[in-house]
Amino acid sequence: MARRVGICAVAQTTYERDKWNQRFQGMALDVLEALRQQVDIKFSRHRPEVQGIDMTISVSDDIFDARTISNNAMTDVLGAHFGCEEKVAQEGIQALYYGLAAIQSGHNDMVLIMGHCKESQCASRNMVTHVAFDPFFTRPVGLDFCAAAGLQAQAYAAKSGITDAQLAKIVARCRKHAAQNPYTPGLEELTAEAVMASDMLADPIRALHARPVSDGAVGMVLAAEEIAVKICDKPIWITGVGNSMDHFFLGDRDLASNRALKEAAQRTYKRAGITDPKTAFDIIEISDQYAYQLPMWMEGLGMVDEGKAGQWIDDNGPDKLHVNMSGGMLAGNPLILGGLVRAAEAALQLRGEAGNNQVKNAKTALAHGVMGPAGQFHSVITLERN
Amino acid sequence: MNTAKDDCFVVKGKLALPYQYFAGKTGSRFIISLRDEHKIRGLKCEKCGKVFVPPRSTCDICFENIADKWVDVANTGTVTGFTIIRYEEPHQPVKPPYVLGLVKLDGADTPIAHIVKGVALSKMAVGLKVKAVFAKKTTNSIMDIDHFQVVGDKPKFELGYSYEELEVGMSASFTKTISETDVYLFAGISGDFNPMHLNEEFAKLTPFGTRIAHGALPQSLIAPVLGMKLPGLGTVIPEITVKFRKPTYFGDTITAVGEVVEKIEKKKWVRMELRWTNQKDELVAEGSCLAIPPAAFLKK
Amino acid sequence: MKKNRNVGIIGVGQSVYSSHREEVNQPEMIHEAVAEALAHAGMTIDDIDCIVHGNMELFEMVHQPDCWHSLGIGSVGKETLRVTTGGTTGATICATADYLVASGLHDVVLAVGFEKLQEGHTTGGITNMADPLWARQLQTGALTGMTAAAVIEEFGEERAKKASMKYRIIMDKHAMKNKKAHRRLGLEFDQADDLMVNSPALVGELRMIHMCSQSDGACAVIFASEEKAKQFRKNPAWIKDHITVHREESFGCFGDEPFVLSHRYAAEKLFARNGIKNPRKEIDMFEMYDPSSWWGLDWLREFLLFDGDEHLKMVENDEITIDGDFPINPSGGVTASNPIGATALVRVAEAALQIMGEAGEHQVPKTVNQALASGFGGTLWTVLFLLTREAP
Ligand SMILES: [Zn+2]
Repeated sequence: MARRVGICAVAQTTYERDKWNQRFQGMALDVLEALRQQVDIKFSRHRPEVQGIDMTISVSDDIFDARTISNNAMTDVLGAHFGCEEKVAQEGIQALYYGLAAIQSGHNDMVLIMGHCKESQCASRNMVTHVAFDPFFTRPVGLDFCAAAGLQAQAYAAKSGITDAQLAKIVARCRKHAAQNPYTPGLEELTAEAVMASDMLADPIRALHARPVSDGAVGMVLAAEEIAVKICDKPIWITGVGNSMDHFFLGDRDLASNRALKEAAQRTYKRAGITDPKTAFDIIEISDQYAYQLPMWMEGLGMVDEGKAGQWIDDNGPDKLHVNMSGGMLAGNPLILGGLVRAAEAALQLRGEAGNNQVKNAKTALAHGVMGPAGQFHSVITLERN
Repeated sequence: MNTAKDDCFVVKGKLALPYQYFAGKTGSRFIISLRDEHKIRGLKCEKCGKVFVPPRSTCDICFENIADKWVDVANTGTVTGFTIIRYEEPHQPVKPPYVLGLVKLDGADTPIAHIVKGVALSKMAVGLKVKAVFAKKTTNSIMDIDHFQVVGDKPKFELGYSYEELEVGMSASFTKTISETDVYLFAGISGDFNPMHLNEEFAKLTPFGTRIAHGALPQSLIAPVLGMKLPGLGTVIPEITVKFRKPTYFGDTITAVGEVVEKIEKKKWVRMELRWTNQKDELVAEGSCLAIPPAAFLKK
Repeated sequence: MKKNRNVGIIGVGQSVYSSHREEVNQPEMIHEAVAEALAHAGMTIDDIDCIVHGNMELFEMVHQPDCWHSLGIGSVGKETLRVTTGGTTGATICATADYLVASGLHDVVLAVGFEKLQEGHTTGGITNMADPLWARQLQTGALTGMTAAAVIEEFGEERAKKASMKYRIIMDKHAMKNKKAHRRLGLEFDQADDLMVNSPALVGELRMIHMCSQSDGACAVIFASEEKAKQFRKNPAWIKDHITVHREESFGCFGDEPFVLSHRYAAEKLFARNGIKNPRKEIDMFEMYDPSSWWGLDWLREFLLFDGDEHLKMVENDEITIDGDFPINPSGGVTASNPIGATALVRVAEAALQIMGEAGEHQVPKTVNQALASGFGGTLWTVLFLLTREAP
């Protein structure tokens, strides 16, 4: 069995509509400084005599950044001068998957992870996700991730019977928690009625069912067990990882089936030795880019029985299972960072540093990220503390 | 940071790079038969038996090469999923709101995403039968199918726009030339045989110098707009006010226009502005009305 | 490096490299490489646990392209990871695949690098790499004449120009043996004097003939754990070690440090920790990411840690030819084929084929026990791989 890997430091910026006074390098630098407050960060630069960061994994997106090789702009900031930096150009939670492998391979002992994205930089994030579609058969009909989500939401609503009122309740709950989360300032609380009165975006998705546009950065330090226990008091151990890819064309899939998420979850549970996911976690942080995704992904994770999520919402299931105590992705994270922020928020809970949203004695957590049109790709990670 | 916004530069940029994408042999064959024969083709995987649209040269379930396993599929199909796009983006092919549907063509196993037309947004549903409408001009892309039109089981009555579907700014019109016959018939219907409408010699003595139509005649041309177009069949008009601005002479061509100006959320009614103009674009009359769009109980 | 477990390369697949691949779309072109790699390893897609994907998004303007490419890669229902690092991407995804297998997370991992440069505007794409505030107005794609000028200054114009042109012609002679290479010009050594003068100048003494091509193509490489590797192949190419070294974006911002090329730094560290004292003797061949023959020539000195003119002599004395003492790029290298996201992966793939003895017409006529492969990208970044015939 490969060695254990722990998250030794976690930091993030706030997530706001438009961080006009900072470039993305500046956001990352703030996060790096905050990480240095938690652990002593040196960069080993392949010098065997120096214990420090062996590898930096950045997370960014060339199209959002409008920079070819957007990590090019990050090497200065991330201490990769004469060191190693590699960019995960996928959902940010995959940086943890990669960091875990990089350390367990024996090749690296300490890994710095840094994700950044400024959704506000582009005229519209839909224009970015539009070009995720193939140029011949799906781009011309105007698809983007929002339109694809509309198709999935309709399919899921038809299958599960989830109601507009239940979806509104999810948003109102998100805003309540977001108001207590210092990283999501500026989001006002909303009543379910206000949500139900908001305009339709892509039926049955309403404007307030969609996460706000946001800018932000998030970082972590990972270390092999023998180092983790030395450099920090409360390492958070990665106990399981898993992901899966579904078909590309929306018509090739059963959009309400959760196929990729089920596979990702099963792989994660198997690696983590979890047999009953419904009782395994004190904290669950999932990437709900739109309100319908919270109940849908919960079914896919096997936490809620299929088709029962509507009732589960009415029974205050999200409070009972401590789902998205941070506010979730609905409170606004940039597209590519949602899953990595979920993991960060889960780690803060396990460290007992989640402020007003803190769940007492949280020991185990699950974090989830999603990418691609209508959840083509899902990634799951499980965490625990000593 | 306490930097003031005025102190921070924003550098405008645009990624304006040219791109050209190659559809490949398989994709090209699909588009060519769409363009030249108005024929939609699918590819069949002999291993799993599925017929795929859009085309691809590998079955991504079995990893079999299926590049030359063409089969014809029908131009008709069934809607298996949909959403209504209400937000506007430059990459959209039509102006929102519009229906984006998943259409499973008869003979294919995988639906394709495309625009669906021919149904009121509120009546869009899974299971509707549709038929491909081919574009008049080719674009050498999937848009050689312009859209899918809803066909078959037509409802008994084509009801007008519901309150939810009506939007401020929507408008409709009706145009008609007013003849001497129209005026005579209207005199008979209304009992208004006033010689200023019927007797040219009498009319010469009036300020108009010739016969004019009854004011209510052009006014009535708004009825086909409201009752049959916007909101349309099933509409009730509880109030209408009109101010007459110019007479209508025989032979004038009158256009009556109604435009939605306000949605009254409380009552689920709309207020509409009404305008009548003649062939010289002169304002003949103007006014407004309240309209009760087709009510839910009518929909059965 | 204390590795958790050994990782071997057991399958290599490449599409044909060309300036124009109109007959295939992106997933179809990738599929060619994947299908060939699976056949080479004697596998089916069901044997693959995880797929690593890499390329540069702005070269084709496809967001999260692994989503669309799942049509040709076979990634549906599998774990995937997408990692990109500019020109080094292809080598980086080898490191990624190595980590994923060595960690025990997966037994068999497929790495796929690709680019379809014909579909976009490569120089425009590379120019967008520069900082929009400080540098974009000055950037001219990847073209720079600085290296040519430096080599000329150090070794004199005649010797420098002759050596770089000889290097270029050797590379073309190698490409002529590789049917998949993009540019196969059939150059002869007696054309050198003519080309040195008449090939169109790009920047200073960097001429068209020196520069790498702009290609479409995909490469796929299969990595497996020791146990799996031995099941599928008797001659895997083993990954002994690899190293990634970056430089800062703003050259010289760490002003007081002596200027060391990342290539030299990487080679020094990699050789030291693997006990290689005389790389020129201990390594049998080298697949180098040589974006131009000036760079290929100059970087040879950095990678093999020379200080004088040994690298020039190696070219002048025909040591770097396919049947020479220290063959470089028997595949033809990057001046012959350059589908950017795949280019560095092709270097590792070709080095692996040489170790397996399965490089076909461009196989070096000797046993390759230890091979080196390099990737280059970004603002002078290096990824360096050491492959061996014996399991480490
Ligand atoms: Zn099949």
